[in-house]
Amino acid sequence: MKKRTILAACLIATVLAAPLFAGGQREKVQEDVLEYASMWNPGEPQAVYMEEMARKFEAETGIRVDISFAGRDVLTKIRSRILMGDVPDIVEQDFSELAGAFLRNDGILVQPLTDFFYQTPGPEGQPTMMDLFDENVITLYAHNNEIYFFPYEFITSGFFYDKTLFAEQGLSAPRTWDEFIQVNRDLKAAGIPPLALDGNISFYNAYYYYWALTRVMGPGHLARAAGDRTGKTWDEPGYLEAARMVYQLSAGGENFFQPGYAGSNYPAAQADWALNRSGSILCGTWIPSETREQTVDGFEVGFYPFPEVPGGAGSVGDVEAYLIGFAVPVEAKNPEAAREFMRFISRKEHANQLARDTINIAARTDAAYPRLLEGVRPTLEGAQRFHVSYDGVMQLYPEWFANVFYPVDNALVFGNITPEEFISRMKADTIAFWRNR
Amino acid sequence: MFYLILAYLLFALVVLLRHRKTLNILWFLMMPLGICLALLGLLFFTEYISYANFIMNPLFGGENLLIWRLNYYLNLSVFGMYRLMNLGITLYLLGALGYPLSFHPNRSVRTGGYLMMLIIAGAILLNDPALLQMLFQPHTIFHAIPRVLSTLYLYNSLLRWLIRISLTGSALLMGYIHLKTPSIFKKQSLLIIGGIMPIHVLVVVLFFWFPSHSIHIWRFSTLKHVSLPYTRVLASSIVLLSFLSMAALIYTALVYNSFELKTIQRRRAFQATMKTAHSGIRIFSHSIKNQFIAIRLLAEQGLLQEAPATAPGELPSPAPGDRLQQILSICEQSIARLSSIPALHDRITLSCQKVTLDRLLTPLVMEFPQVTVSNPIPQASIVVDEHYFGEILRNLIVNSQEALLNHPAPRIHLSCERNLSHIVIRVTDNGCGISREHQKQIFNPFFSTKPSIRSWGLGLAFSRQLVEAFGGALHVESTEGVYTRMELYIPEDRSPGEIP
Repeated sequence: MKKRTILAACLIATVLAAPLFAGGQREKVQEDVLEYASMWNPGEPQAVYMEEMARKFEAETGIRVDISFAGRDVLTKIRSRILMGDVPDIVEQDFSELAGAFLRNDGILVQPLTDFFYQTPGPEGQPTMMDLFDENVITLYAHNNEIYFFPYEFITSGFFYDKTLFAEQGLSAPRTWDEFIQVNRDLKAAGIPPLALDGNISFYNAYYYYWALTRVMGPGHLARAAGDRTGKTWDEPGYLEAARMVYQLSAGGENFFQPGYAGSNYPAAQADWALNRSGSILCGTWIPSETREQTVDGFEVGFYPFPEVPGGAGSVGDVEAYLIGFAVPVEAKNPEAAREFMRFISRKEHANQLARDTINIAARTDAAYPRLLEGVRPTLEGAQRFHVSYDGVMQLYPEWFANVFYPVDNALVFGNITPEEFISRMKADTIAFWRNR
Repeated sequence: MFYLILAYLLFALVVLLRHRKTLNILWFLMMPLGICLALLGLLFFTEYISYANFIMNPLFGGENLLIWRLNYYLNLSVFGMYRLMNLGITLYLLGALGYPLSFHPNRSVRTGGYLMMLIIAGAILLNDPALLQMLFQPHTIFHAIPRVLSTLYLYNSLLRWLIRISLTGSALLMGYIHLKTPSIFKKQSLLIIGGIMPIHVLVVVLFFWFPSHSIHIWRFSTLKHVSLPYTRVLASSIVLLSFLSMAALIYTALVYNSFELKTIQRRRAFQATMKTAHSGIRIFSHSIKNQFIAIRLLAEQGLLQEAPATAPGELPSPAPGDRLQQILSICEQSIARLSSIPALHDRITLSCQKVTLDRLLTPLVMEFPQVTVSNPIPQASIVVDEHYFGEILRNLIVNSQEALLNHPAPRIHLSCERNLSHIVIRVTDNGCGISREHQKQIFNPFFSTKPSIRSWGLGLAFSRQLVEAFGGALHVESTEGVYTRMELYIPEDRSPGEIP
């Protein structure tokens, strides 16, 4: 009995442990299949669009596109496959995510696409693929002078508002901070909460300080402060000034947000905004698409960038570039087909279709704008500099961002701490964070 | 930590294989199995969240490659990981509550407790992601989300409190059971608690922040910016705690036999001992018998020499008070007794079966009318050898009778009651009592406070071994000159099944 028990236990252990040490056993796919791991969920507009693109691509080239819609955590979901050598040919996510997952200190897991951008002719005869895009945007995510990602969708953030509501109140989109404050005061006086915010989403709250700092000091300074192990950077006056701007909006200052914003559960505030129960919302360009079925009659989406600050190093010419697109893993089985697909999807007709069907801005610069996002066009066309979302902190220092910045920033946005307390806590917590690394 | 899960699993499997018929053990095993599942779920979950947020896994950082490789085959989604944790916690709670509850003597308390456990388990299992998937379709999420989020928030809060309250309740129940445990089992009980408590604390620490559902539906199931509340210090403590629990469990369960795991072994050992003893007794009694025969011959010769001449071949008639005649008599008795020993103890084979207390005790009460019985005999069953169990009780009563010789108001009292998982039978007399010094020795073989030809000091030693072979214990409590109480603890058998 004893021997049998031990034997049974050993067998069970072996069965349990076997998968841990076994190699990938899936067979290599055929050459005429392109495996595509998508960040969209089935049925989402982009997913429907991609399915149609895949059908067209197969009809034209004979290469079947095998799409797996994995959702936003696609990079996490395919991690096992990559480790076991069962690698998809194309992976899709926003560039910050792709960079965080694939451009790692211990090795680069995706193929460089620099030659594809500069040596492959465009789909409509352009000399190179790069001619389709703004080079400043594409190179934002370059790593060691190599480009690794290929975009098809462009996202930026700023204030969205209802032009009709503003017109009824006799208001126009503000350009400077003072104008912005005045507009908010007027709305508040009219009984309309000037700003909408779902306080339970920290990265929505974080927009305020990151944008304020970008206007005061210019891009790159949030990342600089995050990476400063001594915390001394936080002593620079620009950081305090940005904190004062945010505090002015908060419940501790002029209280411009909708009542109870600190406890607002996403997407309650944005739904209220769509119903004209608040003035403006600071969000990404996905917001008109997300709320289009909820908006009241006559709602006309307008956009204005985060206001300029007198004497600030940043301006409305500083535009955030948040890109969604593709990466080709190093061990992709069909990289040539992947490149062909990317080229195919960049055609102008396809970029226009993306804008039309998904109500998003295509990465291709000459593509049409969706009607709901026409208001963003002047800002993009007037862009002088591009910077990555949240100053790149999300990909450079994700733990710092989640564990140090979010809690203190939330407290500032909710008006629970003063700007001075914000600075002293950010300094202390940043030092403590790096000390524990 | 990963290997600890395997260790828990193997431990549970081995114990299950060896003791699959012991009901309490099944409850107990739910705990290591539950924590195994829950830990496995947490292992995948934390790694998933960590990787999705580009942060180091605070709990299982060193095992991430193994985790990912394993998940290549398991292909668990984040929902699957959540489900694994949910199931594991449910199983653990069932075990943690069911195990101490199974010891409770009151049937209605047990039934009520089990019912409550089912409700708790149902409430936790209802928190399954499948329910979410029914509630949500990605394309209608924006319309439904505020309402469902608030519902989920409420439900998650309720769930977390339910888990914490259940764990606290389980700990309190174990404490209560320990307090109620008879003193002779206190050490065992303490060791059981010592083995369980580290796991209990481990579960509390690990699942204090039981993950919320809201992360799954947040922006179409994105997992961004969900920070895990575990720190490195906490992670190290958890690893330490889990190894401690494993070590305590193995030590408790296997070395100290805290779960009566060795009852069957003891029974077999008893029979083996008896077999060996039987051979020894045969040789020993034969040898002693020869000595007595020799003494008898000598005594007979002495008698022949001392007696007046009689007709040849005729023994002289014994004279009253003659010493030689007494020796001859003792020799005759001893030879007869020694001759009967091998036959009496020829084969001791215990035939244990489920017997009601009523069936065991009623004949004794009839046999010894002077014994008073206070409480009604509980409607309970124990698994013993009916014949030998009767012998034990007879032995205890006869001892009491002997202690009460020449007592002006002799009294022997028999009581029987439930005590947690055991039936306690007490035989109390108001005899001369046993001194403290002797109390330590009375269970030793060949020790007797009243040595004689009849009393060889084997009765209590034999009884104690038998009681232990039945999975129980024999305990003495006495005050010299006042009383003696022999307490006999036998595990109650609550398994269904017919009584022969």
